[in-house]
Amino acid sequence: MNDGVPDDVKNEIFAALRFGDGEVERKGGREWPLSGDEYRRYGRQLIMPEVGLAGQMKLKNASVLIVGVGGLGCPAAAYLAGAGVGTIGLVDADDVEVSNLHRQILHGTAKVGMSKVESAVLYINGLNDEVQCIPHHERIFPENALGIISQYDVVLDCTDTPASRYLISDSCVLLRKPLVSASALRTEGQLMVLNNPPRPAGDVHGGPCYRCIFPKPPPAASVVTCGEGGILGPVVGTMGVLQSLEALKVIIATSSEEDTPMELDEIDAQQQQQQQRKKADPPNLLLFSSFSKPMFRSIRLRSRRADCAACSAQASVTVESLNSGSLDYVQFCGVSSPVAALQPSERISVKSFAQLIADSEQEVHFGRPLAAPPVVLDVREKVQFDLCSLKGSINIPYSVISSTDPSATGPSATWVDELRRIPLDQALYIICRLGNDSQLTVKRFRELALDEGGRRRIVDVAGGLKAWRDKVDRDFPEY
Amino acid sequence: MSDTGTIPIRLSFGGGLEAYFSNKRTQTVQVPSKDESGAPSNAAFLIRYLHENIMQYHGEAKNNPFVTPEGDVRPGILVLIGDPDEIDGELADWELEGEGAYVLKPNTLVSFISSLHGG
Repeated sequence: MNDGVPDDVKNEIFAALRFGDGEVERKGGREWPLSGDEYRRYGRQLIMPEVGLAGQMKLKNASVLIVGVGGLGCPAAAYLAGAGVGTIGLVDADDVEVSNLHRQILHGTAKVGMSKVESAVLYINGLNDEVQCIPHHERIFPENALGIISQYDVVLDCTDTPASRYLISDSCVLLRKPLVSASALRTEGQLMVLNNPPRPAGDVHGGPCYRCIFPKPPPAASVVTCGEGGILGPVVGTMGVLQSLEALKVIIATSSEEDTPMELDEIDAQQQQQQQRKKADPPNLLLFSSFSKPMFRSIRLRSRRADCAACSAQASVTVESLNSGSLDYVQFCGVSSPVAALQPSERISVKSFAQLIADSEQEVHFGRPLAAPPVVLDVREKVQFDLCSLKGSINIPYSVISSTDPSATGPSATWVDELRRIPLDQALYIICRLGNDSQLTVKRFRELALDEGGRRRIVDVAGGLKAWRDKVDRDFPEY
Repeated sequence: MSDTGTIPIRLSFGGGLEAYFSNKRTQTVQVPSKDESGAPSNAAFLIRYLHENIMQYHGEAKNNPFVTPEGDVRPGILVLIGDPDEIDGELADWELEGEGAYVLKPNTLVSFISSLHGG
């Protein structure tokens, strides 16, 4: 190019300006694939052979959908945005709650009450304004799943129910999107890359889907949420970070032909398959158990199931069945109905229970109480009992109660003997966190004959400590 | 090994199942080397044996967190097998090892992992 400036002078000017903004290079006539800002921002990953310029361009042109902006979705979104994924979609219907903040790192104290997607967009824009954020302020349903997922290249399942996990997996199979699925509870996490490569249903060279691994959902009663079981922030954070890593790997491994997956069929099928078989890792489940040694274990998983309802040649899950609403995922996974194990006579409301306690504390003539203090058994786990409990209540965790065999002969458990020593005219009042385990305890106590053939009353405090806080003592801690 | 002998099986539990097995994530148990019919013990027998002899659960069968009333492993639990003869010792989905028909060897590692759903 002859612009009348000697080359050596030009080089000197460019050298002096090399830390300036990207405009200078373009004025000089060279078009760089990334802006100067991008070279600087992504420099530390650009110099890695695993990424390089080609990988960065793929990230820039990629779109990733994050379903669920909670403990998994937050760290995943942060790292994908940091890495320069061009478009990030976020699906969540919930608002930020203060109990989210120990693990959902995009949200802060000032954002409590804000929608999670809005909070996440603010964070991502602040981190990297090169990223286009698309908020979907809604829950994922069969009616909207295909419409949302079809707009993206890779999907991250960061949700927290079996129903959404099956729905997202089915949708990814139908739309031929790779799916990075993770979950976490207490001290453990699980991670799988599913439907990778995302071959059409019936193609045995495609990666297995969620239904291949778990053809039937677990019984609803066995599903424990983070609210019930607890979750350590770094545990779910680790899984979310690993999801972002797997998503980056999937994007970077994509060949240019695969950038337009809907045209795959036009390419020589055999060549494609060979290419993909070589590239895709065999299906794996990564188990993270943060209090075990070693903390990580990788499990070899099966390939696609020949009779899979979603990804086999005989698949019953179709675009039509999904759109028509004939696939009811909530029904498929079942609903855990609230425990209703007792007769009304075996229960007491928190208000009446509070009155009972008040009566026993009220002194009458000669310093004698009106009534003996009620025997209150708190059946939450000890760790919860230690957080906060009613004055004078005794802790016998439900896990201890439920693992005591009522049909066992020989000496009974110590706690059973101790309860037997309580005078028969003293009723036992059973309380727990929400009022479910307390009902099961009343039933179990009868099986253990602690009601002494009906001579001792065993009473469930209905609604548990949650009702106690809501209706009696606003200062009782909520956790 | 005699007909009435036992073989050591290494167990591991995860995803909450350990709560029903003495709260131990890993343990080694001695399992009869032959099943009820005298055939070499397989993975299906192991599950039956664990349910009847090792597991601590006394609730209703329909709510059993480990096996269904029919005696199958409950949906949502992955059974993983680490064959002691495989050099890498890697755990694999038992569907890759013959499922219930997998014949136990001394020191086979069998892992039961309940799927997690929190996020």
